[in-house]
Amino acid sequence: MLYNIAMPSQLGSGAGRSDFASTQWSMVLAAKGDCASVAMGDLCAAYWRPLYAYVRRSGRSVEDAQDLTQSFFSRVLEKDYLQHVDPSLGKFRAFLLASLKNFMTNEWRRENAAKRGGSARMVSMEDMTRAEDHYSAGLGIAQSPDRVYERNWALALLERTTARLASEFAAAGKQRVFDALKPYLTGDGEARYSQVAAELGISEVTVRVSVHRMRGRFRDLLQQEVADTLADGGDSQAVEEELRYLLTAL
Amino acid sequence: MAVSTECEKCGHALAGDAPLGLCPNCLLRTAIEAGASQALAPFLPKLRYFGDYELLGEIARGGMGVVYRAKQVSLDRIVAVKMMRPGLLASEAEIRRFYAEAKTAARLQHPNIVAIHEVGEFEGLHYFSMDFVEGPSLDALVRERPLSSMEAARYVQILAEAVQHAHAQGILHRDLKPSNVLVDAAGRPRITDFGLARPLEGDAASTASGTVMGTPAYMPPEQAAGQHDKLSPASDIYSLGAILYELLTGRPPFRGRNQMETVRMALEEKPAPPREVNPEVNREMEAICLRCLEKNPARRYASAGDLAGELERVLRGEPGPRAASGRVRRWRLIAAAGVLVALAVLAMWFAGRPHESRIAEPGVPGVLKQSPAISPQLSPPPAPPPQPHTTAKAAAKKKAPAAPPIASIGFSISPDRGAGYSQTFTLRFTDPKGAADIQTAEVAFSDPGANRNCAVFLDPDNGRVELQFNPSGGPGLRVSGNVGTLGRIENSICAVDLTEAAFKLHGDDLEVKLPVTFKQGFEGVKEVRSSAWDRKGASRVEGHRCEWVVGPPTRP
Repeated sequence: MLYNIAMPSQLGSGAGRSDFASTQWSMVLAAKGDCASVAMGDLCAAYWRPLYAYVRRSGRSVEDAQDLTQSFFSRVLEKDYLQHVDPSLGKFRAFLLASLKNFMTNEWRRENAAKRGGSARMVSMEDMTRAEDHYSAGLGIAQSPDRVYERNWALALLERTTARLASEFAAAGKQRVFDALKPYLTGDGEARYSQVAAELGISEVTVRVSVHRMRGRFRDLLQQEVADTLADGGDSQAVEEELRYLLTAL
Repeated sequence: MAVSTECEKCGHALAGDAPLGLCPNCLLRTAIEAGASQALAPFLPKLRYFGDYELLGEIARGGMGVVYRAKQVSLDRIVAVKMMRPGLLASEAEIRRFYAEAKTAARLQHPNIVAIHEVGEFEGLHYFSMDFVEGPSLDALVRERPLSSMEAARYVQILAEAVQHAHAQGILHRDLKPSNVLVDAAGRPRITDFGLARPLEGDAASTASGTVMGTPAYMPPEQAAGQHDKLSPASDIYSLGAILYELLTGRPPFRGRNQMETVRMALEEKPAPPREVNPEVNREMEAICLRCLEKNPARRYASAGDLAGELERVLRGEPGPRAASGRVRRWRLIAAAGVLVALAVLAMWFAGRPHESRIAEPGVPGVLKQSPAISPQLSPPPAPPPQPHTTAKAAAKKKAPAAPPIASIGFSISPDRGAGYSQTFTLRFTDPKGAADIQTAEVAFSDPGANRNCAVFLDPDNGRVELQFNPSGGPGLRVSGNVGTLGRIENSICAVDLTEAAFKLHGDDLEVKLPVTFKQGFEGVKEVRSSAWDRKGASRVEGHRCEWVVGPPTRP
């Protein structure tokens, strides 16, 4: 049975969603009921692309990888699946990859694809195609399937967070400010605050303060996103460690 | 096809999948540092500049110190600064211990030990600065998954050599654990936090007898019992065994519900054999690990050097007894004799073989060209008996007595033609009569006429290989790494696997094993050229072309 977790178009672009409902992995682990499956679907929506990248890097064709990813989601979102989840697995990142590996070795058969997810697509073809573009764009950098998965996980996290930040600015009618300031999210480098100040018609000091605030907000959102994927999202040290780990994955 | 450029700020490869087109590495790092400077605030509200240092962010904090990433302004370099937390400086004993730590660690100069630069005090705050090592701790690495037996062996072998170096200078670490080992960008493990180290013969009063110091999960029973007078090099060997255990199984040998229970287990219980926890652990590695973890220090390895030697043997894939150290040493003598016999056989084989001739390329003085007809003979001779991946300097000390005479041509590469993205090349630099030893060499894969080339620099004296960071930008920043360490170095054109890379000396000749993976975007026919410099600074070898096609491997 499939759960109606989100519209397909939303599923494929978790980062582009407007509500960014906070769904916590700790909640999924605690509840394990119907609500948990819905929440689980939401989390999967945000992080399916690293899975696709892993499957591709493991040597599967585009078509196989698409089918396999779809089938995997159908399986993970089945009601009884979460009953067998071991809370000691900790991070959602580790859980998802362990589940996928298990699925690839034990459960998935190409001929079964139609029965499972082939007929009811969880991710739109358009998004799948975009995922393939994304995957091939990063090909020259990461190597092993596990590394590819982790790198794509970090990218998905950053993408989701930047999209949240952008939507907050847009909602406040500050799209232009965001566009002008976003390069400073990566540090100062050749900071030309005066130039940006002139472009936006505000003082240089205001630009500095805005950059500082924007970075602080970005960090808050990033921490929230990471916390949602941890078994104990309230543990700020665990969040910090996960962030540092992901930095090594890039 | 993947198109990647480099981030102007950090030099990381920047692929088309970067969010908002921003470098993901800088994005995440800036966010982390933004938080670190916030975390710093409660402790050091007004301290951004600290003597010669500009504090950039907090890295870690322990019982008595906080470690910051900092910029040393006068030297314009990034360092780590460890300082006592304000408010914790009341006790003279603590200050004394802080200085003892820095003094002890500053005596250690070893590539696998984090070096101390400066110790000092600034407006009542005591600090010392050390190398800044960017990278995760072993703790963070293994938390994700256990390592393979060979990866674990390589790490602990390197650590054991570093610990042996410290022991030789009379220094014990006393708190070795995965979180005290940082893995740098080149994959090189480096021991840090000599917070509890003290000279072997030093001031016993600085550690009160009966007090348990250290980290229980990695602590030998004699330390868990608070018997500080019984600590010896064997205590550090136990901790190396505990690290090895965790790398192999993903968990420390003892893990109680609380620290007291862990201490009790360390005193009374035997650890579960690693293969029971992770069936994939190699039997020999299990035996080595359990021997380190013997309760009785006399039953452990006699020295960290012995442990390193035993791990090196496993890494070479050589069989060996799992018995007492005396037997190990005897076995080594036999093995060494075997190597000599094999070298003698090789020498005889070469003696009966005509030398390849040097053929000068017309019109280019000094350029040597290999005749295609003799390419099979120019391939390196059959591999000598397995030797450890080691630096040429170390190898030089063990120089084989009867070096086989090898072709007098200056440079050869094998394979010298073919196709593929990944290939392990064997380069051979031979020493013409009368020349000084080879000091550095360079090998470049380049498009004829194009501006892009993959240049690898070889520094056998220091066991290092280097890649130019921005190959099209002329000389400049290079990334470098030590051969035989875990990990790889890479730029936007290629990557070199350091784990498999090796320098070997055959008499005066240098052989380099170079595993290269070319990246997409660098496809096409490449010409391979090399040059080398001897100790007089003269370039004395140049040329030898061969063709390698970067692209999918072709089948003959």
